[in-house]
Amino acid sequence: MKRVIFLMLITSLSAFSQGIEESFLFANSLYENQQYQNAVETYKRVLFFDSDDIYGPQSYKKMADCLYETGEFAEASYYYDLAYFTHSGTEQADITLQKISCHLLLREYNLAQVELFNLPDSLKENQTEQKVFYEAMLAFATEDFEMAEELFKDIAPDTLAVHELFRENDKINKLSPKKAKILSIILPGLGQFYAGDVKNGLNSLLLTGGLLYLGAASAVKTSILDASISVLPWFQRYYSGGYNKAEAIAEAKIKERRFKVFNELLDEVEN
Amino acid sequence: MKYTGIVFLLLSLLLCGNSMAQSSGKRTNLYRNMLEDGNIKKTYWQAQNNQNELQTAFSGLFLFYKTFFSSQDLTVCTFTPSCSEYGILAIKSHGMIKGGLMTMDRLTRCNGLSPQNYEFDKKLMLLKDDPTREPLVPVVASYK
Repeated sequence: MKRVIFLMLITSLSAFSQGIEESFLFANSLYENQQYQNAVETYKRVLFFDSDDIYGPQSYKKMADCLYETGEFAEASYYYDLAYFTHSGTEQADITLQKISCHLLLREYNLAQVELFNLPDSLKENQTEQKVFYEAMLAFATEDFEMAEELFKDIAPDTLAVHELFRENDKINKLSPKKAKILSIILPGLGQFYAGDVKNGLNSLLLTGGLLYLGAASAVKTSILDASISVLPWFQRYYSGGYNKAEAIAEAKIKERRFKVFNELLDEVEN
Repeated sequence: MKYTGIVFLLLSLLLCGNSMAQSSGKRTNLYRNMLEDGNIKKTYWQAQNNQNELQTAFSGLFLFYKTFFSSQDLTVCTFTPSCSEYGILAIKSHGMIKGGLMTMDRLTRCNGLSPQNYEFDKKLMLLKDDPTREPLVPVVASYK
């Protein structure tokens, strides 16, 4: 009796189980309906059971697209790599462009540059436009601003606005983290003022000034040795902390202003 | 009829414009956070969700220290969480007396002379010492 029940169970399971082809078709329908997360899971299932590699070549590109849409850019890049060798012609260029996009979003600028070199010379009009857009963003991210300006002017309708934004960007280069550090070594807080952070500048000035006053008062009341032992370690800590922070604040300010210009450039491209 | 035609034309232009903006917007919006935004402001979760007045008062002191003193300092603590974070977490999880004693004990241990007693955080390159968890090795020797 047990064996009969066991056999019935096994046959019923096999009767209702989803075959690899059904899974593949189901994954495709999920992809068509833009249910990307579910499509990824189903494609993974297909690839897991696809020991003869029949469905793989048909799945890689779609799976990579799904991962791209769900924000999994590192994994998407891996599947675009696999898809590249199963496609040809203009499709390969499309896949490479998608890979460049993944690398840019992952801030892997060197890899994006390598992929840009991999693009063929003859591209469709929309592919060329996309390529220039990626090259412009890459040049800006790698601080090749001269090249970035040229490329952004090619794709933005208002070239005058782009020109103005790049002149604003030139002003950012004048802010030097090293100069901020040296200024704070000369007078605590000065580097922070120079970087435009008044709150931290005042904070540093008052803190180190207060400790200096405490050390001097202590030296007058007791002795220089007593004052050195009790106050000097604290003074040294906040003094060196202050000038190192000044450098870090200047670096952060440069990034913040660069980020703002970059987004304004994207606004210009979008218009 | 003329007005209806004009309204229809304007509406169709508006819709067309919107759809064009959306398609191009999708392309650029994806890259808005491609560069670092340079935000170095820190938020301290340790000072949030206070249960009583005591915790609120100590969280206030913690934030005052973090804003005006710690912000001007280099990373000098050998532990993660840092001594001030340990202090507020200890008071929140063990009360003022035990938490206060634990914090004083921690300050005497913050010298990096006995790294063998702690787990090591490879990402932060600091020793792990969390007041809400049992220590790996008893930090105070127990004599029998």
